[in-house]
Amino acid sequence: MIGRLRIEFPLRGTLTFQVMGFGSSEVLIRRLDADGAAHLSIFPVLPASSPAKPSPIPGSR
Amino acid sequence: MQSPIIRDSAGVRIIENGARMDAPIRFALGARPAFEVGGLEDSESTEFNHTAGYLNGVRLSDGRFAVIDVNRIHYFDSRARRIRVVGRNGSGPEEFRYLTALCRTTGDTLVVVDSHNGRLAIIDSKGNVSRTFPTGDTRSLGSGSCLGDGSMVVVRPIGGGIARDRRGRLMRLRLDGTTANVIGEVILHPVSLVTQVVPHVATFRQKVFFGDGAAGQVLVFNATGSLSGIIRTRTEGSRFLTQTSTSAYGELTSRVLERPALSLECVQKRQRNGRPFAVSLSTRMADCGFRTMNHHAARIIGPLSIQTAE
Repeated sequence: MIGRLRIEFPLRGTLTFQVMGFGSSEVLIRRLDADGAAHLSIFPVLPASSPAKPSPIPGSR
Repeated sequence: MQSPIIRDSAGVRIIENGARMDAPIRFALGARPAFEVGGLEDSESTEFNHTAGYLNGVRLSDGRFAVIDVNRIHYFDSRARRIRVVGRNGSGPEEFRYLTALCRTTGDTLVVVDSHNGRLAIIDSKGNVSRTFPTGDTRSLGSGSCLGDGSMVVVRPIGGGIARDRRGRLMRLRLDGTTANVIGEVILHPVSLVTQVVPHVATFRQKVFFGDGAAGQVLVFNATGSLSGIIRTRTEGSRFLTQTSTSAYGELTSRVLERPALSLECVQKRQRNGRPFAVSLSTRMADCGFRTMNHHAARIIGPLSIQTAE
């Protein structure tokens, strides 16, 4: 395991999203916009600007 | 980050990683999508139907993008313009009732699962249905289950019932539905509506990865039928491999906390352009404060390396 991928969804007005799969350095995401319309979006995977420290999931140990 | 412990057991490479939450964040998404389809359209009939829950897509080798949408397959060109729609509701030729998965194999051939018709359909590169055959006792074909040699990987349970540790076989099928070989045996944990942990199959070249979310491990098989590796993580608190990132979960939590009425009935319907529309079960559960655990997906970054998404 070499690290984690941060997914901070960058689009405003998105109701919900789900990771559907991965390609070569890209991620396929299904999302609903503010109108409730569905999108399939491919986002590029980039190196994080600087390796971030691990952060716990709220509610988990 | 703790270095992985790698050992060999009877020819099987076992990699014991540290806890996933201890791993540094080394990757991030770009600010904008490189490609996107969907959204509101002039005609509601051409919009994606998101209520079915299996909307998914795959990129083709020439830049086109194919999307399964209940009983249709949308084809888009590399500039996200819709160029063809295949299928309608029914059980006849070029008809589907409920598409749940797709994958791409050699020559941009698509394999789609039509669960309500109980069959798999093979779609040629031009979008024509070239063959269908019954799924039989096949439990699932995931959206990463095609191999590059014109075959696909399916999971078939061994025996009946819903035993806790029911076993299944990973089978490699040819595109005519005949069996090429057995890849290996796996444990099929019952699907939980709460955790949503389900078996997940991914392929890379001639490797087959079986994600066992309940056990927190990934089995690596050669397509010809031998176990070559096991990848594990030592994660305390939650053993589940999930699709939701830490950051995304934080955003979700914030959003939930902003909603005062959190119960199972809290979000049954929403308004869109004055019309109510349903949201998926998992979305309703998440909005109502349940922490859902979706099946994990794997990003393959090398012949023996994958990255799970949380």
